[in-house]
Amino acid sequence: MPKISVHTGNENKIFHVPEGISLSDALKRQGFLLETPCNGKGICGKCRVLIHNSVPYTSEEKTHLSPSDINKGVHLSCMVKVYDNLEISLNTDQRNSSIVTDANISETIGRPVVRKTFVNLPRPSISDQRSDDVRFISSFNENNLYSGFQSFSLSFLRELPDILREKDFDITIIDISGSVTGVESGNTVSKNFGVAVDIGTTTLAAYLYDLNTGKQMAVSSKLNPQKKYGADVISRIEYSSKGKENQAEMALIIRNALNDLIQQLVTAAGIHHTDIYAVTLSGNTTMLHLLLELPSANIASAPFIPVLLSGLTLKPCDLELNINPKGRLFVLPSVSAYIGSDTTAAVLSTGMHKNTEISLLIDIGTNGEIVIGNNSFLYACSTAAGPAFEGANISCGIGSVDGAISAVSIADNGTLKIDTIGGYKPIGICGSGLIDAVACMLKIGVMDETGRILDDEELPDNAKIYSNRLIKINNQKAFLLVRASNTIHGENIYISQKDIRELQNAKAAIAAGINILIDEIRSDVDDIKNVYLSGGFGSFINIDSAITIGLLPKDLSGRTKPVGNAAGAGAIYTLLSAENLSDICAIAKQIKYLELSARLDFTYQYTENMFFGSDI
Amino acid sequence: MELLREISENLQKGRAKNVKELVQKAIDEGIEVNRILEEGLLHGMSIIGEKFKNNEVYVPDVLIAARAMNTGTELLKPLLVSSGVKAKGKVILGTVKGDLHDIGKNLVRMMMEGKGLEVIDLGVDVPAERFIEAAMENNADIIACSALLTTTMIEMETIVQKVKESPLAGKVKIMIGGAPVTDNFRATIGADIYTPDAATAAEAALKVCLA
Repeated sequence: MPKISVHTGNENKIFHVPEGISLSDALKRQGFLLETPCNGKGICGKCRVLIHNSVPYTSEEKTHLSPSDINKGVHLSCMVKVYDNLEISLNTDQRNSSIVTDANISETIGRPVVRKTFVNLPRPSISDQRSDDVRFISSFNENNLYSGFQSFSLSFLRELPDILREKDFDITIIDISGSVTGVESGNTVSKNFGVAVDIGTTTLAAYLYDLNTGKQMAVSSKLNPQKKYGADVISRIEYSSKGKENQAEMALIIRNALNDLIQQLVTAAGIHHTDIYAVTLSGNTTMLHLLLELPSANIASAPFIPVLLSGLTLKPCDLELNINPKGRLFVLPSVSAYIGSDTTAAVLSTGMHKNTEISLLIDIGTNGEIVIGNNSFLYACSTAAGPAFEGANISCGIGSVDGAISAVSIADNGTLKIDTIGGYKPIGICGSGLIDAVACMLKIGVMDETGRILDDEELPDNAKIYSNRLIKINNQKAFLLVRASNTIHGENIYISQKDIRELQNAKAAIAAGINILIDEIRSDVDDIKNVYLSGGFGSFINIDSAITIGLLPKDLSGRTKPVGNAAGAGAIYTLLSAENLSDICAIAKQIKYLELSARLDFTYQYTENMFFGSDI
Repeated sequence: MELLREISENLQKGRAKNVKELVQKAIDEGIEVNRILEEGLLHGMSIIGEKFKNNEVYVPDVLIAARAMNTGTELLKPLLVSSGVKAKGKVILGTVKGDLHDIGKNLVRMMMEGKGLEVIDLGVDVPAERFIEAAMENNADIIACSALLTTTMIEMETIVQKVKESPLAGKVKIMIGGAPVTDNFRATIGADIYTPDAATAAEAALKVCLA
């Protein structure tokens, strides 16, 4: 078996690997974190490593690597098959990711999902010989005593006598969403916490609430660790569908991550795991299938049939979540294969389903989910924007990490002003930076409305000052954003012609989705009174730039509001009020899903929305 | 000719409005309809096709160039019919049953139309029988099928089989394409032509029709 020696900034590791394995798989098995958004297809060019041995280059590698990379020995690890011993260097510099966890919660009135009631039961005596079960039931439901068979679990009955007697028949009854799930000895009413979780394809967010007071106690978040099997849902489904073991592995990865988040929450709030009685879970349909270890293959191909869309109540042990075993998990209801409970929860949190005015909710990510409607109708569609907004298919693209260019603007003297996340030296461009940069390119006149970067001699007079920014990268036109000398890695950061085309694909898909929904309800842009932009991207995006490049219709300017993690907010609302749990089921039922891929008007709308201006 | 060169250049840049104006101008100046088509519109589209094949331009470039071409062909169509210019061949095109992906298939249509072929586009999720019916009705030269999924590309084998059992056997060529499709797969199922991209597909189709 060949041997690999890995040098990172702070460690050297040597291990043997099976012959013929791809280098990226070998590294991942050893726990090294590699960015592989395309899941090893040689498409994204992100899994770079430096190999000190001479290894031939594949054609995929040659398209992604510059001649200077190739001179140094930089390879795409997914394209390298290991047959001989290799010595490699790996940049494991882990950067902080910005995860938007802001969940806008207004005060909620209503009955929380978990209610605890303290009862002082009459003690048994020779004149009161009621059994433990009857005595217990009579404390909360006198009428239900002899009405039929009970569904107590045997383990519950085995514990019951001790629980009743431990604090001399002082007990606390746990009622979750209208049914009694357990009993505790003594008065434990004050220990009543719940967790709302949003499982995103990219990020996970969890919120701890005190259910008695409705107060937020802690927030935790992390990147979705399934990311190593691809950035998008399809790669995850492909991996999970290869066999039962893979399906189980994907479930385990996400469950472990959720337990990590819960651990962080209880530590931050100084409470115990067993003080948590309810977890509400929102997520896209695929993420929920992977969590529940359900077969997901049918989601990936037409006619796109998920196993489960209904809301589901589970016991903590079903998903091995580390909370009170008497608690319950609520998997929130979804609408279709590509409109999940993250969307239904987002609708719930905006309240658009109760408003008489028409609102539009847009969650921009790899898939753009769009909902339009009011208190009498709701329509939704999902549109495949591709990973451009997450930087995966953009030459200098990167996620929202420290040093990512998040904003670009033009100063009064015409120079470009570049802002990065955390104010660090630039490392790459994230989605909001890309949109800003392309909007600037249009405004300063180095790109025309069809998205073509102009040749030097075509530049209008007022754009001539930027002519030194027009460069060629691998024989392709590009616009230089930050010179190599000012970046963290000493390489130019630029926007290539291909990057602009990728952005056009992405923005045209979203804009087409919006237009089709507006047409479907036979409405007009003017009738839309509120536009909610949810998700991390919606919080960072510069709305003027989004309108400039035509991602959002220009008439919606001034009515647009970022709502942070609306899916997380929705999950919190269902935790704080049982009424919201039934509302979200009504929302899921109400939403009419439009399948865009079957529509002839989609291609038309898609092409018409490619441009960066009208009248072309 | 300068005007025709301008049509071609504006088409390549996706300037639909300009293309429309220039084609109208060419018609008004009495330039032969067939020349406007060949040396203006089709010339521009074939350059886009070539660049697309070489990864110099991308899907959006093709979509917006084809959109510009359509504004020109709309003006030319009635004149072409009256002047008796015939299409160079007829192609029945569609994405196979169970598959809803249409962008790749649309690119093929645009490229084929850019070569002067008449394309009858059956859309997506097209069952084998529809391909055969349409080919018989239109007396087509080629049936071209697209699939983007490994799970749906097997449908192409059904189409090949059904064509063999139909009166079309030996008269119509079957072309296949799409991301998971390979020339090996073509040989296995017994289809006639496989091409790796839309531009090559149009070239191969033209060759079949001219043969």
